[in-house]
Amino acid sequence: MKVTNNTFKKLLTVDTVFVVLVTVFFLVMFIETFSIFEMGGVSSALLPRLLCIAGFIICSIILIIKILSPTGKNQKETDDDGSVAGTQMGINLVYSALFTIGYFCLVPLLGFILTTIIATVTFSFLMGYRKKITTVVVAIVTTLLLYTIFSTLLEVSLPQGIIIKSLLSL
Amino acid sequence: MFEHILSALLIVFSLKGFGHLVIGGTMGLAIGVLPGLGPVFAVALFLPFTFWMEPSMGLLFLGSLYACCVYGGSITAVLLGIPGTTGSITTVFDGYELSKQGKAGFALGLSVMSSMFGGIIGVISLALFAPMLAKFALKFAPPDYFALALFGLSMVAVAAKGDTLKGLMLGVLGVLISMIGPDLFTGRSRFTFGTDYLEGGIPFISIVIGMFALSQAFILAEEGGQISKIGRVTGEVRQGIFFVVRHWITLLKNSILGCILGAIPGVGINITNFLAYLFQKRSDRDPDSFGKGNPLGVIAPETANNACVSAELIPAFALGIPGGATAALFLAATNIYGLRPGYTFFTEGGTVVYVLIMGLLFAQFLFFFLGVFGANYFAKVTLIPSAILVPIVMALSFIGGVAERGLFEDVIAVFVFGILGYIMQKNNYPTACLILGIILGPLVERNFHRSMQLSGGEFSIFLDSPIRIVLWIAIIGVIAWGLLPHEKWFGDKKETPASQ
Repeated sequence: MKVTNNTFKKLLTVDTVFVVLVTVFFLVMFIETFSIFEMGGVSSALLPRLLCIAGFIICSIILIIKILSPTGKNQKETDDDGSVAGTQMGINLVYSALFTIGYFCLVPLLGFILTTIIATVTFSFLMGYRKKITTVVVAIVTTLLLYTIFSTLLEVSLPQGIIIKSLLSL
Repeated sequence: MFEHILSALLIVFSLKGFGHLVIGGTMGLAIGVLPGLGPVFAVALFLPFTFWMEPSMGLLFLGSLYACCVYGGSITAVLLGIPGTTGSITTVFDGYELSKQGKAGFALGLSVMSSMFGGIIGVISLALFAPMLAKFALKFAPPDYFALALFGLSMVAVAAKGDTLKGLMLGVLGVLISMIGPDLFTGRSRFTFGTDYLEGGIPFISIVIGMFALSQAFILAEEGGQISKIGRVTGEVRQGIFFVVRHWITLLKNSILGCILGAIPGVGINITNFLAYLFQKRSDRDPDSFGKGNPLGVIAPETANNACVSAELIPAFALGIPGGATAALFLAATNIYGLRPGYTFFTEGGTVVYVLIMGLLFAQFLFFFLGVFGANYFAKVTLIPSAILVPIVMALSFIGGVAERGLFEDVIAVFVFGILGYIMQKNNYPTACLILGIILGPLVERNFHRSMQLSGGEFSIFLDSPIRIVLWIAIIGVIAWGLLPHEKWFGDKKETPASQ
């Protein structure tokens, strides 16, 4: 029972979950190859199918190696470190990801300029940077510089902001 | 050819061309000094913005950005003991030691002069040998190209020492991702899972920005703080430059080593940097002085890695097989500008090709100038807090995602690949293998399909010529070598993925 728990604990890492997800991706892609349109002659689905099989075999070997790797003192240390690092990594990733999602979603609504200034100031405070005036000045200057370079000089169409646009049209 | 060289020179020295060269070089140097943000990050971040430039200006900008970024890594390596790029790791051993002895200026002189010399030899090797290799490659048939593409992929997978299986897994994954969208032969959509967005495939730019730029923003956010507090430059830069000139044999030897290693797919600047340092140490009369401020310990790796910068582009432009992630990005850029790798790249590419070569060449002189007169100022970039840097990278990632097609879905793709890149980098996955798989995907598929059509569906075509047999033996040999338990048999220590 202890062995089973250890094995399960050892396997439950970000690394293993990633390999399992890639394995699932190979399987899904393999199933999807059967819906590829074929015109006769050499099948267009042949190479993708071979690749899915090769990918599946490689992933299986990686997972088998992980299961069969010896459970000693060193392994235990790795497990402990790995789980702690994994948890911390997960928390940091969630914060950064949420912030990025917020930023990416707000840009089309509030526009590039306003959102980037707000995001820079907010992020700086969240990260514990306390020079308020510096942060605000840097945020405004950097945003306007980026907007000028990309929107004016390189003619990249940057969002003006749906809310800002509708407020201006009132 | 001479007409093209002359035209290229006129473009580079026009006000516009020189502006692109200087801006690209300055940005490259500024990114290069920031630890963790190497040439892959720099080229990935700015690649989408070059689409709005003329092809010659875009390639000039990218060439200058790339060359100066690699050099930039040595500034922080010498002044702060932190390698700005993975290609400057061994420069820390003696360069930083010299700084601690109050000879930072001397060490900077060593690194800037040897980097420039190595870089120039690298550009010359690109200009001379890439067309020769491309001409030789004209003899290659589809099955040869198929095997060659797999060889390139296996070399990069193995370069990520200790992670060969993961490298292979990501390579296969990359090739499959490249297949999402229109079928190369029937034109019908595949692997779209019923979504309209995937019908055109996932844009390469969104993948690259997510994997290399946004993921770095997550890592910087996690680490927080600022990179360092700068020390003062002491000692004479001029003395370092003259010291390098006096050791011209070391320069030449390491330049050639850098060119040879750079031209081998999968080796890259970081392995070249290590090997050059080790060879120099072993061949020296006083190996114990290395790590204690031996100037040759700075000259050897800096010369070799800068020679490697241009040499890495040889297989990419001549054969379409990029040797690493940065070369893959350059290949993507040239493809977008309508330049196809191979012999026609040099014969029909015209002036644009020579503008890139000239850009790489004059970038060497540019970073020499900036390195001598402005190293102190560039090192101050490391004082920028992550709290400011992260939102800027996020904003640039958003612009990069939306720039190509103006679709918000592309920004979502940037985010998804950003998360993927973060997880992969945190777990020591060689991300370069995924990018290489995506870049090599169409080449692999096209040549596999053509080979099968030629043989009427017989797999024996892949083994019916000596060159193919040699290539397959090489692929098997390389993978087998990568899978050997090096630590157990040879006492090697595992390395983190080298191909980053």
